[in-house]
Amino acid sequence: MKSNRIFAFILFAGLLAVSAPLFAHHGQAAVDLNKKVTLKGTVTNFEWVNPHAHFSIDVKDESGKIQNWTMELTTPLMLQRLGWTRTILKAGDTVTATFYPAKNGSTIGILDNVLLADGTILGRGGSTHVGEQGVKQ
Amino acid sequence: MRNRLLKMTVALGAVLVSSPAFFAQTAAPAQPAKSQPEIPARDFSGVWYGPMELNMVPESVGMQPWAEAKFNSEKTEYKVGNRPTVKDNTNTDPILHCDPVGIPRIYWSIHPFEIIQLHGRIMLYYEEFREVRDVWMDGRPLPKDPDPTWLGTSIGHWDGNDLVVDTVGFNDKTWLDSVGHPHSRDLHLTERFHRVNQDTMEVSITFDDPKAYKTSWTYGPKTVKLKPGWEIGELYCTVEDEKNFEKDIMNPSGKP
Repeated sequence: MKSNRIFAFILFAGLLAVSAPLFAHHGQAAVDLNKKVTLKGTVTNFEWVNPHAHFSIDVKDESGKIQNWTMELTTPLMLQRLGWTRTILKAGDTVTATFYPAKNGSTIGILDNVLLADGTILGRGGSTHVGEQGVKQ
Repeated sequence: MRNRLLKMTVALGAVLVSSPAFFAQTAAPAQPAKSQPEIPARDFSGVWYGPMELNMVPESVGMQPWAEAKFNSEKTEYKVGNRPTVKDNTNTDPILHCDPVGIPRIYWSIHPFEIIQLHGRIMLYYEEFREVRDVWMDGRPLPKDPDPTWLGTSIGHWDGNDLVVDTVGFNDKTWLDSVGHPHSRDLHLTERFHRVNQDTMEVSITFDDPKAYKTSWTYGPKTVKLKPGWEIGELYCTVEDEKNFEKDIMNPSGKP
């Protein structure tokens, strides 16, 4: 019961986080904000860097082929305010990432949220309210 | 489950209606709650966080021809009018090669800023790129012909409890906003900070730049929230970080 409550709280915090803006440094025209993809994979690296932290996961498709996907995040400072730490993801962790994929077909996306093996969901800082039109939606 | 919720709602309603506070609020003029802090007078100290905004120039303002041509020549990810967008390192945004973000654009980034009040001076300390401004409050006049700088020269005064900051002496290298509106060296900005309550203020910015725009205009007021417990962290822009970002993210995801 207690763990359910914790999970619910984290989920709620994650949802709140989604309503916050993400990128001041650049926009998100490279990704399709109308499309969300969810992939489960194994973390290969986590770069806690400016201007945008990012992590990569190896994802096995139905034929057994492995593709490496990279998830773009916001700055480490804003991620810390959303509950992230520089050690929260480690190579070898199994995670499920939901993200907006690049329009050009590359294996890169802007993360929406990531589900960790212990049930924690971390938001990515949100950005979908900022559209490509240059005005707040 | 629904019955339980209903019972809880009824019980909560009963508690509210039977509480002295309920009748006190309906029977007598409301008194300010003791726990509610007073609005600090002439004290904006703290870390503040505003909304993200991309475009601060209404179409009705009208750009002078050179400013419009410059605006239309910029390449960004943000679609405005018929201007094409770019998603890779052909982007002309000056902050992507670590030029200062500048004001007022920096207010509407995703990062907070701190107001530090000192004797005769107020410091505005922005987390993004760790930019710092001095607002002189010691009665000195606005300089007539200051050397152009990235953040200009700022003189402040109190209008009642509002803080009003006039800034002149900008160079012409920053963008007013994320979509790339230009300005001239004659830009005169007036920022007004109005405290609404303990954790809220409104920021309005008046732009006066007849060399670049046909009329002056005021953007805002925009609501900015106090963030107790937040501290300004280190966020420098470095060439190495930007190059890595271009290589790892921006170009692979943004090249056609």
